[in-house]
Amino acid sequence: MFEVQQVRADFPILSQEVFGHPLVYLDNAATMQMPEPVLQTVVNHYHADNANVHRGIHALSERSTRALETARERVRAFVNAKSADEIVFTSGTTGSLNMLADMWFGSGCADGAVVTTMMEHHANFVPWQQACLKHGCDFLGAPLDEKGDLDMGELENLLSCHDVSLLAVTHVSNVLGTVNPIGEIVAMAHAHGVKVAVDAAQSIRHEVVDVQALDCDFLAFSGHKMGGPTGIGVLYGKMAELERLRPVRFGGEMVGDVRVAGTTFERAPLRFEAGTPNYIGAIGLAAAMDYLDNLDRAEVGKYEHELLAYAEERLAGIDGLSFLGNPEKRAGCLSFTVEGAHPFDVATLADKLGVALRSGNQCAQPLLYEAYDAHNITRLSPAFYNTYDEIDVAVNVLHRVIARIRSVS
Amino acid sequence: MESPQAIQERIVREIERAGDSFDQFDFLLSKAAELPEMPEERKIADVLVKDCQSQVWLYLHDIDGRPVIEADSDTLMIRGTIQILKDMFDGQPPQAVVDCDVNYIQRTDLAYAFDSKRVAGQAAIVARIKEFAKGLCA
Repeated sequence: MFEVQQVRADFPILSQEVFGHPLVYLDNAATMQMPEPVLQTVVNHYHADNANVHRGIHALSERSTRALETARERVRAFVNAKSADEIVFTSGTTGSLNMLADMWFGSGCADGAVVTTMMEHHANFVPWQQACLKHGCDFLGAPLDEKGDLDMGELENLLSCHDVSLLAVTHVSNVLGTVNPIGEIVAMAHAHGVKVAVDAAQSIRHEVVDVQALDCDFLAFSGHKMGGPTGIGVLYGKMAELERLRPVRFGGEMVGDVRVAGTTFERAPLRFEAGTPNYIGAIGLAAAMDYLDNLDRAEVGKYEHELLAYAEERLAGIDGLSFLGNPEKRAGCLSFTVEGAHPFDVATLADKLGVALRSGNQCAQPLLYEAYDAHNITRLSPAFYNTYDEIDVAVNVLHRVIARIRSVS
Repeated sequence: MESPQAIQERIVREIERAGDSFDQFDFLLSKAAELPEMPEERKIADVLVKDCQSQVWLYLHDIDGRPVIEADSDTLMIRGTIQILKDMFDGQPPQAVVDCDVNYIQRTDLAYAFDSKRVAGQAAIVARIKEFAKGLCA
């Protein structure tokens, strides 16, 4: 049985007041808070073991290196990769996808178009768009249906009617909450000889992400979306795919022989981790994975799903509120507009009553501007440490705020 | 006539007296309610202020050599800030507009809702007004 109050005790940041009101933190799709065991792991490493990793011939460096490589194995197990060598540590999802886009085109892998979707975060859209522009390749966006699900028929048309090298697709939309059938999408792409890069930034906490079961070629995610530190992320790649890629960032630790005549590179994953890696971040990320796995993830998933459904039901009672999308399966967030109330005004006033929401375009302009003709939305994104009472507080605050806004509009 | 600086001091006092943070923003909503709505046909791309996250349409003209602001925004908060600028600058001697340091946001709880991008947006509006006033000084 999942005990939310027990879990909340691990997140002391939640027990505070802002502007004289108890904090109701509902911006978890942007950043999830770190539980105490993760914070302690990070602090303990700084207290006891901190030193630069790799090649340092002293005890602390050895301990740091071992902790980093243990973290890599922990990440492997979390996403069920075949080998820890398939796990590249990066600065986050954005860092992973930018590096991949650069490497994809810099390694002779790309001899065709890149297809993405209209529900992507800019991090899985702009890097591919810019790389395609630079290399003269087509860049295509697969449309959504009226419910906010990927139009699978149109996606297949794009994959079959164009010379496509790669499909870049999100697992879970950071705006609609749409959970894409990634296994099915990967199988479809592979049937057309197309490789697949998955943005798992939003799914890594909500869904069980098994890269072997999904059969994706690449997958990217961030630590701070799953209770880990900021500044750490992962690029997973099948070993055969990683071996095809030339590094695009160069420096220490990723090289073999360096001469005026040329340079050889380390094996994967080290060849993709130039310079001092964020080893503390990686150690914290592994601790976050331990934390999540120590919870009953099936129970947590069920609780989060029911909490989101409850939030949807309560929000639906607000006059003039419209949700963006109504996908078959939704996880993580609800985005909405309210007639006569600008999202900036709504989120600003809600904040002053203690409720943390997000307003803006959510780094998804193609989705908002081209698919929905909405320039700004308000997003509510609960996590497993949020309570039903907090949803009630948030909805009551929204009622009050919207009424006040309408009174002067 | 009160100087822009004196009006700003009065506005800071009014914001602080309004109460808690919510009430301070509520004050901004009240100011928004005072701002006349701009007809839709005047909300054209040519008069949008660059660097503003919200849409701000800004016209500046003068009456007898003194500036008059006509502006609107799609968000109430920014409409409120525009009305405050109107309170401070409409009909003032141009040099007083140029010399005024606009800082009421930074001095009150309103700063909590104005991140660096929004502060830059406000600065862009003020810069346009001051540039116009400077032209009137010549």
